[in-house]
Amino acid sequence: MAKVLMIHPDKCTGCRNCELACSFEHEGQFRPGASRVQAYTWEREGMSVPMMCQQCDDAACVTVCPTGAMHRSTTRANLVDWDESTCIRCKMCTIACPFGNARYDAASSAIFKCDTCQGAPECVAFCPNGALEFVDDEQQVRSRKKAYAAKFKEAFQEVS
Amino acid sequence: MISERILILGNSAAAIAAVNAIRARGGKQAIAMVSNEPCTAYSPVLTTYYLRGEIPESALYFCDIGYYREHDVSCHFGTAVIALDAAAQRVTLDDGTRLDYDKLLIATGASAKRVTGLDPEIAAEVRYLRTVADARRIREAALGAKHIVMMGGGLVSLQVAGAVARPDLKVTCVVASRQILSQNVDATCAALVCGHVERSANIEVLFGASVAEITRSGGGYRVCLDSGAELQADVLAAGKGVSPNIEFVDRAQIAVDQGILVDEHLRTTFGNVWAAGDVAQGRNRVSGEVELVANWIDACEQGTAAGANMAGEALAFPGSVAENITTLFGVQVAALGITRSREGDGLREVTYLDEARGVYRRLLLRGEVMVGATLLRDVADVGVLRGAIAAGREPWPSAKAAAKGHVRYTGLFKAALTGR
Repeated sequence: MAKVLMIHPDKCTGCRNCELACSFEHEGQFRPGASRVQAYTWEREGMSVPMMCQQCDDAACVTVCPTGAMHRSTTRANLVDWDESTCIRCKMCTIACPFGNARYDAASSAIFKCDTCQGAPECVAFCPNGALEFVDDEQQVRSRKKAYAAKFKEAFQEVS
Repeated sequence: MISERILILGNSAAAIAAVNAIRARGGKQAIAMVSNEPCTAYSPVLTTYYLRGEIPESALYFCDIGYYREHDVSCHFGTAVIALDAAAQRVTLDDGTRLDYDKLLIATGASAKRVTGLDPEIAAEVRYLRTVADARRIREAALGAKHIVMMGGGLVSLQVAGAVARPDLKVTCVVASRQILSQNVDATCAALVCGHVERSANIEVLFGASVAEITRSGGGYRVCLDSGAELQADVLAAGKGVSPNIEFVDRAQIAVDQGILVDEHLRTTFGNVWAAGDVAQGRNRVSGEVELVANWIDACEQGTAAGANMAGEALAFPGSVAENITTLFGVQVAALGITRSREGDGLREVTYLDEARGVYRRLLLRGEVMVGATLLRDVADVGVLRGAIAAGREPWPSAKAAAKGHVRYTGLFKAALTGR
């Protein structure tokens, strides 16, 4: 069965191990700036949450990509994939994603977005608290993700 | 039963997004498309990349002929619209073809604004950059040239200048205002970019200058400026912005201001006619004004909404956001929302400058709400800032922190997670 990345903010301690694991897997460096996952912490509220590409069904980055480099994978379910060879680095996807989950990295001239490590996410492997999980894409998970996404959507639209 | 006939004028971002939206809803309408260019859809966004030689021409096209077959679109490419009679629901093409429709989408895009006040014969020789054909012409013209005079100092002008300048080919940009990129960024940002321009290429920028007259001289041109100075050029080029391709629209039938006026469903004042992309003038989400905003992302979003509405679903377009991101001479520049403040507009700016890293960031706020951002080099959070500007949110925990880019958009997530 296809799998999806699941976030459990209540379990995240903000240790940022995920960022190190991710950047090391993708770039061979311990450089949080090169990580596809970012752990955010609100110190006053005592709250942390890891964030990465949500592999949206109706993804803004895919809609605006003028070359088709950002595309819904035909080989793997639940993956918005980035094709390095057809990408011309126009960075439209980085403007279009309101979550900042597609970012341009000048140092490597690449678009950084979560590719779930081709089905074996390192962030999940190295999260000591189970705040990240790679789980079967079941109805229950879907609805939880949907509820989560709706919250985000609401946050963006409430003032507009 | 005869299926509904949808006619789409145009064949770029908005037009293709509309086709996708219609077919994604299972629509079986007969779709016909008209484009005055004899090729499949390509992105004008990419022509500067092509001009720089970074991508081959083949990479400009984002749809091949198979796309139109798969989406069951009948194509009239390489033909221009000469007349639209909205009352008769009929479009006439320059090859004599007449197309009747039930619903029409105007998505004909924009063309480079022409320079005015020149001798008509010489004016016809000025090069612009918008279409693939334009890019090819500039490439050819630059081959044997020694000196190009570029009228304008905007994004396209600079991209073209940067693409063609060589050690043995100088480009002189004649810029009317006191800064480059005057439509996009503030003076501080412009000065930083200009430093890169002049350091990295054989380009000279003349500020506060405008062309008084151009005459022929030898095999080239003599360009006389207002100041009395003269330049010799063998190629003339200009980048003065774009204007919508709406010559065929009868203003007695369809309301037109700077562009075709549309409501939040991208519908024009004529019931069964929609408009999207660079031709459509609707509400700007940030300024609140009804104005022309021409950019790729808006065109994609408007095309999607227009297509959905034409397919019978009521999908509102939340309004345009001015936005641009590009790499100029190796430096990333992004401009979002309102980026130029004027005397008495009540906007507050928060800036951050790190000279060592060459990073400059400037946020514009109305009250506590973010309405614009200019980012130089550090553009990692451009999407979140765009989202925040579009939604009219406050930067969190402070504007100062957001300007620095040190605390990335966490306020948005916090709001999403906690509802506060």
